[in-house]
Amino acid sequence: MVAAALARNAGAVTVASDPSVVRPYERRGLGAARIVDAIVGFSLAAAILVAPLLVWVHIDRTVQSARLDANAAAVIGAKQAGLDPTVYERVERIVPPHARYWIDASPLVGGAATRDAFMMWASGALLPRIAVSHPRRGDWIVLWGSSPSRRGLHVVGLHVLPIHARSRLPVYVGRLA
Amino acid sequence: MIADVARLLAANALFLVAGVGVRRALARTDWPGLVRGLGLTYLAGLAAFGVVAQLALVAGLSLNLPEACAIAVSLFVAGLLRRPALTPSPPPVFTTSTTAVVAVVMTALGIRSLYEPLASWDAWAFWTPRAQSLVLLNGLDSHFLHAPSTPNPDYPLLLPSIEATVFRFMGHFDTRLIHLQFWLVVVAFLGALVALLRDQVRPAVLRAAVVAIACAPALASNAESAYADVPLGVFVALAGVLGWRWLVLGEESALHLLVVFAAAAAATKVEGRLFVGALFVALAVLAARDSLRRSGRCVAAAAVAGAIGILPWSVWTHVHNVHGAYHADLRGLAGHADRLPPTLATLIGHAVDPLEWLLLVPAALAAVVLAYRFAGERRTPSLATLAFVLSLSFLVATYWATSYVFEAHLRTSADRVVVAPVLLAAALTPVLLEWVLRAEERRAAYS
Repeated sequence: MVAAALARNAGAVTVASDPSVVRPYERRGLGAARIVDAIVGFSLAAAILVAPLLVWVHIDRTVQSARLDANAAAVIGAKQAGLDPTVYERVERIVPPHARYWIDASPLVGGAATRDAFMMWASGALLPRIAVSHPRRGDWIVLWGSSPSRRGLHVVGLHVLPIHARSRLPVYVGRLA
Repeated sequence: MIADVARLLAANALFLVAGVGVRRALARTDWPGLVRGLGLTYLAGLAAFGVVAQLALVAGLSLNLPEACAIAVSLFVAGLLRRPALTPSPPPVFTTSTTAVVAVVMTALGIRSLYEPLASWDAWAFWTPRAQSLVLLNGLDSHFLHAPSTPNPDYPLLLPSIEATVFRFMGHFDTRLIHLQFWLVVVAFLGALVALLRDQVRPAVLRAAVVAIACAPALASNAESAYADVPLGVFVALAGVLGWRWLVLGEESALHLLVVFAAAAAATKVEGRLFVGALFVALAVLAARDSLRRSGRCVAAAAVAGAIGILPWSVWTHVHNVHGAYHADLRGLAGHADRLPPTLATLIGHAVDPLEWLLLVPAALAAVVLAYRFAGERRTPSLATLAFVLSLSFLVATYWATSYVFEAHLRTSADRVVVAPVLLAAALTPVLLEWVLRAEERRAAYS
C-alpha cells in the first residue's frame, strides 16, 4: 500500500533545481526504493498501532485531571513534593507584597528534595515577595521545622503555622527585629 | 474556562500577526503562502516575538499588554514594507485517513491540555514562576533572579515571555490552561513541517513522517510537562530544515528564517546554544565545500542569531551578576572519563526507545545510510549526520563536565534534552528518503 502510494505521489512533486529528474519510479529492481518503502511502512505502522493507545492515555489522563477542581490542580505540584500548599496562602496573609523574606527548611522536615521544593514553591507562590540569600538582607523570615530563636534570629510578631504534610513540624513566620 | 481559552487564543493570534510580518519580510511569502503555511507563520511569529520580547525585557520594558501588542504590530508592519514574491501552489499532502489519525491524536492531546495540572517539577519550580515574576514584578528583576529559591536564573527568557504574555491576556495565572500553549506549538510544528517540505518531498513520505512524529509518545509527554524542551526542539528542527533548504536548494530566504528560529532556540534554553551551534557548524562546513563565501554567509547568520538571541541576555546576566548553578568542571574531565559510556548509552537509549520516540531515530539512521549509499547528493545526509552527532557530542560533554551529582543530573534530564536532536533527525528524514527515491528514479530513467 505504501509502495503504491509512493509511486502514485511521486509525479506530484517538483524539484527546484532540475524538474526533469522526478518521475514515477519503476519499483521492480529498485532495491533502495524498496528499503525506503519498508522504512516508510514501518514508521507509519508503528505510529498507527500506537495511536489508539496514545489516545487512550490522553483520555485517561484527562478524566483524572478533570476530577481536580481549579484550586487542587493549582497546587498539585506542591502536594506531590510533600508540601502543604495552604501554608503559602497563610504566609501571604502575613508577609506584605513586595517584602523581602529569607526562607529555609530544617533537615528535620525531610530530604533535600522536600526542603528544596519548599523554597522553590515559595518563589512562585509568594510573588511579588522576593526571597533573599541571607536573613540580614530581608525583612521577614519563613522557616520550616526550626524556630527563629534556634537559628539565632530575633523576630517580632512570630506566627507558628501548623501544617498538614508528611512532616508535621510547623512553619515559623515573623518580621526580623 | 472558555473565556480563558479565548484569551489564550487571542494572545496567540498576536503571535500569528507577528509571524505574517516576519514571513513576508524575511521569506517574501505572499498571502496564499502564509495561509497554506499557517503553522510555519505562527511559529515564525512566536519565535520572533519571543526573541524581541527578551530584548525588550533586557532593555527594561515590562512586557505589559500594550508593549506586547506593539512588538507584534511592529513585526507585522515590517512585513508590509516588503513586496512578497509569488509562491507556487504545492500539491496537497494529506489524505482523509492520515488526517484522521493526526487529528484524533492531536485532539485528544488538546483536550488533555485543557485540564493538565502543572505537576512537573521544573515547570512549577522555575519556568512558570519566571513568567509570573515578569508579570508581578513588571519585567526583569535581578533580585528575583538572585534569590536562592530561583533555580536556573541564567536561563533565557523566550518561554517565560510567551507565558507572561498569555497570562497578561488571561488577566490571571491559569497554570492548567498554559499547557494549551504547548499543544499549539506541537500542532503548528506538524503544519510547519508540511509547509516547508511539501514542495520537495512526495506526499506519501511526508505523510508518514508527520504521522510518526505526531504519534511519538515522548512528544506528547514532554509537551504536557510545560518544560521548554518541546518549543526548543521545534525551533531546532525547523532551523534544521531551513538550513537544508539554504544549503541544498540555495534558497537565501530560508537562511533569513533560519536566523529567526536559531535565535529563538538560543533564547529558549541554555542547550539551545549547543544545538544551534551544532547546526551552524554543520552548515558552515558543508557550505565551505561549495565556496568560502557561502560558508561565510552561514557564519554571519550564526553571528546574527547569537547577537539577537543570546548576547543581550548574556550581557544583562553578566552586568547583574546572575549566574546559573551549572559550571563545566573542565579540570576534572580526565578523572571523569568513566562518565562517558553511561552518558552516551543513556542519551542514545532515550533517543531510540520506541516507547518514547517510536522509530523516528532508527528510521533517520537508515535514511542517512541509504542516502549516503544511493542518493548521490551527499550534503543532505552529511548535514543530518553532522548536526545530530555534534548535538549529541555537546550534550555528552555537558554531562561529562557537570558540576552537579552526575547520576542525578543524567537521570533527571537525559530524556528531555534529546527532544531537539530527535526532532531534528525526524524532520530531515523525509528529505533523505525523497532524495534516495529521486536518485533511484534517475537511474531507472537512464538505464
